[in-house]
Amino acid sequence: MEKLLNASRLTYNPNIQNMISKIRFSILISCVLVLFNSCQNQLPEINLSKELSVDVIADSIYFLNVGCMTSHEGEIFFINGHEDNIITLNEDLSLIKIIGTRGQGPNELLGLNKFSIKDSLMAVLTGGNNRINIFNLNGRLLKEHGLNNTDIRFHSGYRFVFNGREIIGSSSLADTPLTIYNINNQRQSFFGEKYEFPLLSQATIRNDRHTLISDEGFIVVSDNMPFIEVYDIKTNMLKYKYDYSTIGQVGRSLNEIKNKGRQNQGSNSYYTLCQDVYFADNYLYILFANYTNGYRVNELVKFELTSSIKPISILKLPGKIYSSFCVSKEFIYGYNSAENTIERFKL
Amino acid sequence: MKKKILCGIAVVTIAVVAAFNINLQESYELSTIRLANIEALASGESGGYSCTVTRDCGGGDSVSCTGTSHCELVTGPLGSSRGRGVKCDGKVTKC
Repeated sequence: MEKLLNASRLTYNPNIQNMISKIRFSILISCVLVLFNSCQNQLPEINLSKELSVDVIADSIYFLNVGCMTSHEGEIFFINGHEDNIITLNEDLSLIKIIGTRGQGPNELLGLNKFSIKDSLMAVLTGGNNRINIFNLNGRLLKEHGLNNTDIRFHSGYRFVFNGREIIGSSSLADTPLTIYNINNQRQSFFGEKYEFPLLSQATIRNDRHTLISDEGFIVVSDNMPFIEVYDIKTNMLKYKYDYSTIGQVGRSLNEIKNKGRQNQGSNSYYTLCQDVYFADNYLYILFANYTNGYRVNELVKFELTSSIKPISILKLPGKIYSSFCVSKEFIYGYNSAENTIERFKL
Repeated sequence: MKKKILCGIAVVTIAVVAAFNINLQESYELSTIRLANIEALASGESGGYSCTVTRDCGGGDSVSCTGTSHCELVTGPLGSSRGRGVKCDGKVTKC
């Protein structure tokens, strides 16, 4: 025993021990780094190439501040902020019709914000006139619902759902961020789970969300938090919530947002993550802002949304900044706001 | 002998992991540089794009911002001037 102890003392070398402990530490750090890399789900990227593009239709209609692009039964609808109307194109980007004219009078539209289609009806929110207008898809005004003397809380800057008699969307109230407003009886109810922020002013401005509908329920997506929520249509209770910051490309953009926020974010400002959302054929698409190499908004995260949410891929559009998009059975359509063009891509 | 084998395994593991990480790092930095150059060239050709947007908040107040890619007005709740604002290069500033 004594010999063994002596032998071990002889072979003890502080330099070797030090080196071994450094190696152990390096292995530990490396394992942590590998685990961290594997936790961030790097989605495959698919580059979409532009098939068609238009910057003017019918010789004199130009695009500016296009929003709320929607595909419905082979037609593409969108708000053209340049004229305060809704333009309908066919799948080859040729003009079909124009809905609405700018103005403050009866039957006129001012400050178009968002619209939503249900079967043959379209509900249009106009912030300038403070109205909800109901059109049929031929462009005939069926009902004009003024909100000037009401206490209705409905945020007009986010996508909403119209079911023929109610509009469901963002309430602009932090504690109950979602609302259902019945146009016929003017009743309003509220639901939804609040996102908490250290500052009250941040909670007030960062709880608004886009609202879409699927067989699973209301799909709700924040413009500044990496969350997708699904609410039950009947009970309005949260069924599940998905954090998509685990997607590598999104996670890196969020890190940039955190760095920028530390430098120059006031209590009345925030950085957007989600520019626009769309749901079609059991797939949810999120157009997200990427801050990692300057500011770009040209990547769509594609999720499969059935009884759960599964990220599939990143679809990359060729332009730099897109502000709205929609998806049909065969194509993706996007508004390139740097070029003021409507573009078509093969899905 | 056992220690030598263990040390050998540790060195090989570190080398593999380090090579993997360096490879990732290099490709990321290269793509960053490439994109930065393209942006710089585009900026040089167009003379440097910038935009500014201002929103009247009522009561003599306003908010504004300046961007190098995209500027727009942000709408608020129906029937209220609260919640309106401006957005430049992804940053929203509310009244």
